[in-house]
Amino acid sequence: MDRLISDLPTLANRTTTLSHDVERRHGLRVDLPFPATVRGIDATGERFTVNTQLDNLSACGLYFRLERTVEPGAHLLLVVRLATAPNAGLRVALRGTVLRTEAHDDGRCGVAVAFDRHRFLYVSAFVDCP
Amino acid sequence: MSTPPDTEVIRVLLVDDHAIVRAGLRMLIGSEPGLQVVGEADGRASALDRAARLQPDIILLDLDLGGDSSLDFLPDLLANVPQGRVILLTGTRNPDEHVRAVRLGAMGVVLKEQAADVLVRAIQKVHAGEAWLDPTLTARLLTGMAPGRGAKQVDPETVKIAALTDREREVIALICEGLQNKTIGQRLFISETTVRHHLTSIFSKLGLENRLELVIYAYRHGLAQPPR
Repeated sequence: MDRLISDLPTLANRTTTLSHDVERRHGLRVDLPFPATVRGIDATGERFTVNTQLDNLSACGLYFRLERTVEPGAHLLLVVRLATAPNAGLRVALRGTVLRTEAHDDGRCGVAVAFDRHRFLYVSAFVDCP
Repeated sequence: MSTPPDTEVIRVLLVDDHAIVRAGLRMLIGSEPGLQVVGEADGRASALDRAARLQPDIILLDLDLGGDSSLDFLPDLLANVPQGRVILLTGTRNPDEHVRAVRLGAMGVVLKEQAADVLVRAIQKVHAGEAWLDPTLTARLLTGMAPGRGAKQVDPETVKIAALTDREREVIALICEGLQNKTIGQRLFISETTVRHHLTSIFSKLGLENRLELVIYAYRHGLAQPPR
C-alpha cells in the first residue's frame, strides 16, 4: 500500500485555494457504506490493517468506525472501493491524518480523516482491498 | 458642416459546420455595404483560433456544430475576442437554448428561418451595442432575473448539470465505472485526447478539480450510481 501512495499528487501544497472553494469541497460528500481497508498505528502503538466500511466520503476527507482506537494526528493509509458491491467499482488509495475520534454506543471508535493525497488504482493486482 | 460618412466596416466571422450555409452567408453579408466576412470556421478549434487571430467585430455562431453545441465554448470564444460580439444563428426554436446562449454572452439570437435582411439588421444593431432578441426571449430572461417572481428558484447544481452535453455525461458514467481515459476513448470511439478535452470541460462546468471530486459529485447528484 505504501508504494501505491508514495508519489500521489498532493493537495496540501495548493496554497491558492480560496476559502469558499474549500467550503464547497467539504460540502461535496456522499453518505454511502463504501468498503475500505485501513492501515496505520493504533493508540497502543500497534500496527494494524483492518477492513471496515465508510460512513461517508467527501472531496477532502472521510469518516469510518474501527474496533480499535487511534490518536488524532495519526497517519493512515486507506484503499476505498467506490462501490457497495464486492469486487466492483473504482478503487482509490488515500493518505490522510486523523482529525478527531469519538466513541460510539456500539463500542467502536469513530474516526474522521482528512486526506491530502489520493490515487485511483486501476490494476487488479492489489489484493488486500475488500 | 456635414458629418463625414461612417466608413467603418463591420468585420464578421462565420462559424457553421455546413460549407453551403457558410457560402450563402458569405454572399449575403458580402453584398451588404458596410459588412465584410473576414473568416470562416467549421468547428470549435477553428472558431477559437480564427476569432483570436482575426478579432472580428461580430461572430455569427451556429448552435449545432456537427453534434457539438457551440454554447460549450462560447465563453472561451468571447474571451478570445474581447471587443467582439456574438450572434447565435440557429435552426432550433428551443427557448431554453436561446436563454442559455444569452446568459453565456451572446448579444443576439437569429433563427435561420428568418428573412435575410433580419440577419443584416441584427449584425448592425448588435455591432452598435444593442441586443437582438425577440420579445418572448427578453421576457424569459427578465423573468429569470427577477428574484422570487416568475420562474422558480433553480438549484445552481441543476444549472451546472444542465450544461453538460450527452457525451460529457457518457464520459462521467464511464469514469464512475472505473475506466481510464484510454479505455473510455475506445468505448466511445474517440481519441484519448478528446476524452481529456471532455474531462476538462466537465471539470470547468461543474467547478471540480479532480477525478475523485467528479466521482463523488456524480454519485451525490445522480449522474452515476455506485455499483451495488
